[in-house]
Amino acid sequence: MDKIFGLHTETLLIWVASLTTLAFLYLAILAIRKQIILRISFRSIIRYPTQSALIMFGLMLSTAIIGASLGVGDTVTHSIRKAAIDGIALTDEVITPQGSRFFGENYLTSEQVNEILLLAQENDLVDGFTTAVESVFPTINEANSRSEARMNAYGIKNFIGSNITIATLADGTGTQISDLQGNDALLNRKATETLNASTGTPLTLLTPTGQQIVIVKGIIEKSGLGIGDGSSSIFLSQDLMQTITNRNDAVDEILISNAGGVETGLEHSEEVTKYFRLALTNKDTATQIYQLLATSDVIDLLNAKISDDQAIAMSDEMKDNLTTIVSALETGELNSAFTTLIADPEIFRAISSSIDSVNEGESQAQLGVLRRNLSSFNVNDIKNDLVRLAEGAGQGTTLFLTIFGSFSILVGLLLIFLVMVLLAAARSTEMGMVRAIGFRRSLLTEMFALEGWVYAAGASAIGTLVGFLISFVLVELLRRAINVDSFQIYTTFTPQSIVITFGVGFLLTLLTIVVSAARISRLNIVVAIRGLNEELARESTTDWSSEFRTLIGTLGGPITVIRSGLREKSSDTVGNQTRLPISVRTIIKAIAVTIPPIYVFRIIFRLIRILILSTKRYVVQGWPVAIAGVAFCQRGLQNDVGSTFSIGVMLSIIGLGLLLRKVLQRTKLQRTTQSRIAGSFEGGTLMVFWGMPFDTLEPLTGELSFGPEVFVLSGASMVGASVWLVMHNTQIILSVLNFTLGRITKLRAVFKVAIAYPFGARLRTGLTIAMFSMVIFTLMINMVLSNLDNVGRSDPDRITGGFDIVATTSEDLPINDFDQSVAASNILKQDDFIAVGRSTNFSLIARQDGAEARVFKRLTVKIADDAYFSTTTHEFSTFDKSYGTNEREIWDQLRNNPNLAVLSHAAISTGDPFSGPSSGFAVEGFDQSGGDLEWKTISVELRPLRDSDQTIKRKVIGILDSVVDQSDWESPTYLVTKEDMLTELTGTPPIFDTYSIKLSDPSMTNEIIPLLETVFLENGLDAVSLSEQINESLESGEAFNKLFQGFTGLGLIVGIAAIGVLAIRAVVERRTSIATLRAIGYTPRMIQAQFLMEAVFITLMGVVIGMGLGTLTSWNIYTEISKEVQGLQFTVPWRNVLALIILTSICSIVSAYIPARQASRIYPAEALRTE
Amino acid sequence: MIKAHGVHKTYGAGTLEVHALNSVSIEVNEGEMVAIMGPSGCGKTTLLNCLSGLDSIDAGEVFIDDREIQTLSDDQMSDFRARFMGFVFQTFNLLPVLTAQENVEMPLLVSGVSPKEAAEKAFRQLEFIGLPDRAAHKPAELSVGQRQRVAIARALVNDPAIIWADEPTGNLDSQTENEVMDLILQLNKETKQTIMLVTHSEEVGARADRIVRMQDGEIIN
Repeated sequence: MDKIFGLHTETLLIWVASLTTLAFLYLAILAIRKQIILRISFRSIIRYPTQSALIMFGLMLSTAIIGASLGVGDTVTHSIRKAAIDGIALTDEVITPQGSRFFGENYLTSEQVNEILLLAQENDLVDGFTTAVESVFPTINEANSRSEARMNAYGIKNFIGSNITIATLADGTGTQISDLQGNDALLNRKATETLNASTGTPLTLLTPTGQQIVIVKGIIEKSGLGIGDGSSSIFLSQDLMQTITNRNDAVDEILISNAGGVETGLEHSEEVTKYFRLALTNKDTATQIYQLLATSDVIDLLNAKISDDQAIAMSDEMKDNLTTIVSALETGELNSAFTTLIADPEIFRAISSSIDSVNEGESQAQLGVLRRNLSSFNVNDIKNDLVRLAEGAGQGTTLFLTIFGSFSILVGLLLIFLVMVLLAAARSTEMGMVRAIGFRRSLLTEMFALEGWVYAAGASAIGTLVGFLISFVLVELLRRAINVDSFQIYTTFTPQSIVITFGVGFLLTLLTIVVSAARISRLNIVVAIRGLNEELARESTTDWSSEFRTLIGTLGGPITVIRSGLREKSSDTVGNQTRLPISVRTIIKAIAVTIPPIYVFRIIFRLIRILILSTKRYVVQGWPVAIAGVAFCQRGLQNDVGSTFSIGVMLSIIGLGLLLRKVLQRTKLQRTTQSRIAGSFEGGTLMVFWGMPFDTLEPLTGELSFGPEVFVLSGASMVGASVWLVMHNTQIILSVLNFTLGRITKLRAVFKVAIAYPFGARLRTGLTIAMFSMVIFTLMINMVLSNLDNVGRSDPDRITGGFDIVATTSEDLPINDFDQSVAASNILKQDDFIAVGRSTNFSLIARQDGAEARVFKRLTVKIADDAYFSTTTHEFSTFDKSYGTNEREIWDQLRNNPNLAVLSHAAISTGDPFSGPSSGFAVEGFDQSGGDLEWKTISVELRPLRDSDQTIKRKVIGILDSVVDQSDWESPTYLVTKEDMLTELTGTPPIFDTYSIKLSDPSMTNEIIPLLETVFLENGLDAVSLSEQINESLESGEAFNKLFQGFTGLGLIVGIAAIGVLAIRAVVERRTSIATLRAIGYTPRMIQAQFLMEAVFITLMGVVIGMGLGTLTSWNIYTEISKEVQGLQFTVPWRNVLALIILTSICSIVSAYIPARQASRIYPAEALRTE
Repeated sequence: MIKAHGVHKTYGAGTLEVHALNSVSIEVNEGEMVAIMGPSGCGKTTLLNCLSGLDSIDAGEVFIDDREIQTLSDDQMSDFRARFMGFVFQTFNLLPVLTAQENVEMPLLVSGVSPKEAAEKAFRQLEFIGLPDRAAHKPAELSVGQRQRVAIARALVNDPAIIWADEPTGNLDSQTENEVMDLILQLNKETKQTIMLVTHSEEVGARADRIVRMQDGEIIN
C-alpha cells in the first residue's frame, strides 16, 4: 500500500524503523551501563516464566490487531492489483471517443485511428497499438442447442507491436489474437463451459445483420488485454466484427501499450497519457479556456483552494497539479503543461468547482460549454487507474479496520497499563526496598523499561505473527463473503507491513510501559515497604534549582560530560571486573551526547519535564483546561470542524470539574463525598454531551462537519465518562445491588464480598470495565445498525418497485414488440405478466434553474414508458404536495405530463460523514439532514453531452426514496421522466433496453426467467430475479457484518484476558482474606463462587455500559438517518445481544476459573501463617 | 469442651522437616480461658490452628464438644467453624473493602441468617463493643484498637462456643491492650465462652484462668 493511516508508507516506515532502532539502542546502552538493574529486571522475567508468558500474550493483542488490519489491507491491495495487472497485461492506456449513446459519435473513424497511430509512432515510450471493435451477440451452439444470450464479442487488429495481443490458450501456449481470419473464433473459458463447445465447434451468432456462423479455433485462458476475461466472450477477426456490426471501418477503442513489460510499462503511464492528451486537445478551445481562467479572481480562488487545510478530499497530487495551473495562469502565456492538465477530467472538475462564484457563476457555465469541445477523445490511464483503485481499496480496508479496531487497540493498551499496575502492586515491597537502599526514582522507571523491553519485543514479535494469522482468517472469510469465483484472493503481508506492525506495536507497548513505570515509580518508600495505604503518603515538592541545573547541564552536552568526568574519582574496577578507564568512558559519553538527535531529544525531554512540573499546579486548578477548551471550541466553530469543537467542550467540562474539586476542598465535606460530587459532574456532563441527539447544539453552533474520527472520539469519551461516573458512585451501586440481589440469603455471604472487592480497587476495575464497554459499544452499534437497514427483508417492494424481474437486452438488438413475441412463443403466455415497463438510460448534462452553480454537470436520465409509471410502487423521500397527496398520484402525474420528472435521493445533500463530495449534478437549496422536509418543485435545464446546445427543461416534483438507489445503477444520481424527452432531443423514438416485469404469480419467477431468455435469445436478453438479487445482497451484507463483528470481537479477548490477569493477581493479594473467610466458615466452593462472581460482575458491568451506550448512539444515528430514509425500524437484536452476554460471561468465567480454583484450595492455616 | 491426645504436626520433608507439634495432649473445659505461651517458633499458633481445625494433624486426635474434627469433611468443618467458633487474629484480618458492620455480619450470613437479622445483630454487637458510630466505616478509617474490637465483635456475633485468639494484643499499645483484654475477660465472664488465647505477653497470660507453656512443639507446663 502507498499510504497507511493516511501517511505515506515510505515515510511511516522510515519513522517507525528509526524510532524502534533508537529505542532499542537506548535500552541496549542502558542495559550495558546499568547492569545491576538489568539483572533485577531480567531475573523478574525468568523467576515467573508462566507469568511472563501470560504478560506477553496480553501485551501482544494490540500489535495483533494492527497487524491484522495491515495484513488485510495488503491482501486486498495485492489481490486487486494482481487481478488488474494480470488481466490488462500489456495494455496501459485506452483511447475512446467522447460521444455517448444517442448523442455524438460513438466510434473512432479510420482517419482518427490513423491520426492517433501517427502520434504513437512518434513516441518512443509506446511500443504497442491495437484497435478493438466490441459488441454483444446472442450465441448458439446448434450441436447441443446450448446458448449464451449475452456473448461479448471482440474484433482486434494490431498496428504496432504484435506482442500486445498474445493471448494465453488453455494448454498454456500463446496465440496471436489479432491473426484471426475469416470466420475463425476464440472462446474464453466461461463461454466454453456455457456452450459446452470445443475446438472445431461451429457457433451461430445472432447479429444486427443476421446470423453468422463461426468456428471455434481455440480456447483462451486470458486475452491479456483487460477485455473478455470475466463474462462469456468470443474473439473474431476485426474485419468480420466490423461487417456484422455495420461499423464499416470504425472501431470502439484504441489500446496502447507502453515500452517495457507488464509492470515496467506502468512507469511511463503518466507521461504517455499526458502526451496523448496534449496532442489530442483542441488548441483553440484550450486557448479560450486559458483566457477565461487567466483572471485574478480565478487565480485567488484556486490559490485559496490549494492552501485550504480543510480540503481533505483533495490529494497532494491534485494540489500540485492546481499549483502548476496557477503558475501557468500567472505567466500570462498558455503552455503545454496547462493544456495537458486541463484535459484531465478530474483536474477540470476541481477547477470548475472552485470558480463557481466568479461572474455570478457565468465563468463556470462558459467553462462547461468549452469543455465539451476540448477534445474528441477520452485518454484513459487505465492501468494506472486500476492500480490506484487497488491502492485505494487496500487503504480503505485498512482505514476501516483500524478505525473500528482502534477500540480493540485502545483496550489492548489499557491491558498493558493494567498488567504493569498489577506488576507494580506485586513488587511494591521490593521496590520500596531498592528505593530505601539508594536507587533513584528514575532507576525504577528504567528498571521497568528494561523489563518492558523484553515484554514489548516479545509481544510485538508474537503479535505480528498472530496479526498475520488473523488477517489470513479474515481474508478467508472475506473471500467467502464476496463469493466470486473469478476473483482470486492472495494472502499477502508485505515486509513494510511487518516492520510497521512490529515497530508500532513495540513503540506503543513500550510507551505504555514507560508511562505506567513513571507512575509506579512515584511510590512512597515507607508506604511501599510496610504495605500501607497510598493515601497516607504526601506528594513530594519539586526541587526547581535541581531541575534547572540538570537542564543547563543537558544544554552543555559534551562540556558537562567532560567536566563531570574530570571531577569523578571512579575506580576502573568493579569487584573483580575491569572497567574501561574513566577517560575513555567520558569520551564515549561526550560523543554520544553530541549526536544531534540525542542532544535535541535530551533537551526536549528536560524542557517538557519542566513545563509539566511548572504548569501542573495550575492545570489541576481547572481554569487553564477550561480556557483551552473554550479556545478549541472557538477554533472548531471558525473552521466548522465538529471534532475540534467537541474536544473543546470536553476540555471545558473537565476544567470545570477540576475547578469544582478545588471549590469543594474549601467545604467541610468528606474527601470521598467531594470526589463523588466532582466525579459525577465530570462523568455525567460528558455523558450528556456525547449522548445528546446529534443536532441538539445546531441552533447554537450551526451545522458542523464531522469525519469518521468522531466515531472513535465519541465512543472512547462516552465509555470513559460512564466508567468515571460509575466508579465515583460505587457506594450507591453497592447499596442498590445489596438491597436487591443481596436479599437472597444464601447468595448474600458470597455476593457481598464479590461486589465489594472490585469496587475496592477502582483503577483496575474501571480499566477492565472500560475494556469490555468499548468493545461491546462497537459491536452493539454494528448489530443495531445492520439490523436497521433491513428494508430488503421487511419491505422488498420499496427496492423492487413492485416488479419481479428486470431484463436487459443488447443495445444493438432491441425487442420490437414484447407482447407480440410472447404471444408468438409457445412457452410463455401473456397471462403470465401483469405489466412490462420499458426504460433505458443515457447521460446528459444538467443544471438547476436559478441555482448559484451555473455549470452543467453530468446526470444520468432514465426514460420510461406508460406501463412503467402505471406499475411502479417506488416510494418518495419527499414530493411536492401540490402535484399529489400520495406516491401513486405522483407517478400518475409523471405518466401524464412529460414535462415532469423526479430525481434520485443521491441528488440531495445527505450530511453523511463517510461519503465523499459528488462530482455530478446536485440539487442546491434543499438539505434534508439540515431539516428541510417539504419539497418545492424546481426546474432543471438539460443538454446533450456534446454536439448540440439544445436545452430542454423538466420540473422536478419529488425525490425518490433513498433505498431505490440500492438498485443496480452505475450512477446513484439520476432523473426519471417520460420517454418523450429523448424524442424531444433527438427527433427519433426511444430504443428501450430494460424491461421491468411484474408477474401474475411471483412464485413462478425462477421458472419464467429461462423461458424469457429463450424467447428473446435473439435480442440477447438477460433476466434477473429482483428478490434473489436482494437476498444475495443481504447475504453478502450479513457476511461482511459478521466479518466486521469478528474483527471487533477480538477486543473481547483482551477484556477476557484482563479478567484472568485480575483474578490471578487477586488470589495472590488476598490470601489472608481468603484464609480469614475460610476461618469464619466459608467453604472452598463459596470462595470459588466468589471469584467467579467477581469476574461475571465486572464483565456484566462492562457489557451493560457498552450496550447502553451502543444503543443510545445507535438511536441517535437512527434518528439522523430517519430524516432522510423513511420506514426504517429501530430494533435491538435481543437474541444476538443475549448470545453476546452469555458468551462473554462464559468466557470470563473460563478465564477466571483456574485462579478461582487456586483460591478455593488455599489452606487457611498456611495462608495465615505466612501473612 | 476441647480434648486433644498425642497430636503430631510436621512441616516440610527430609532434612528440612520441622516437628511443630510433638505428641501434644491438652484438655480445656467449657467456659475456661486458657493462655498458650512460649518463645517464638515453639508451636503456639500451630497448636491453635490444629485444635480449631484450620490446620490438619499428622497423628493423634482432637475432639471438640465430643466431636472428632478429623472425621469431618472440609465443608462440614467449615460449617462447624461458622456455627461454633470465632477467631481473633493479631493483624485483625478484617476485609478492607467492607464496612465494620458488614465485616461483623459475615459469620451470620455464612451461617444462613437472613440479611435483615444479620444486619441488626451485627449492629447490636458493635453497640456491645462500643463502636456503633463506626458501623459504616471501613477498616482503614478505624484506629488499630477499634479494628481489633471489630474483629472481636465478628468473632462473637454468632455466639460461638469457642473463641480462638492468636496474639490478639500483639499489634496494640499497652493501653489498648488492656482495653481489649478487659473486653475478652468480660465476655468470658458474661457469656461463659471458652477462650483459647496465644500470647507472648505475661500480663495478658496472667489474666487467663490457666497458662499452658510450650517449648519445641511440646507442652512443658
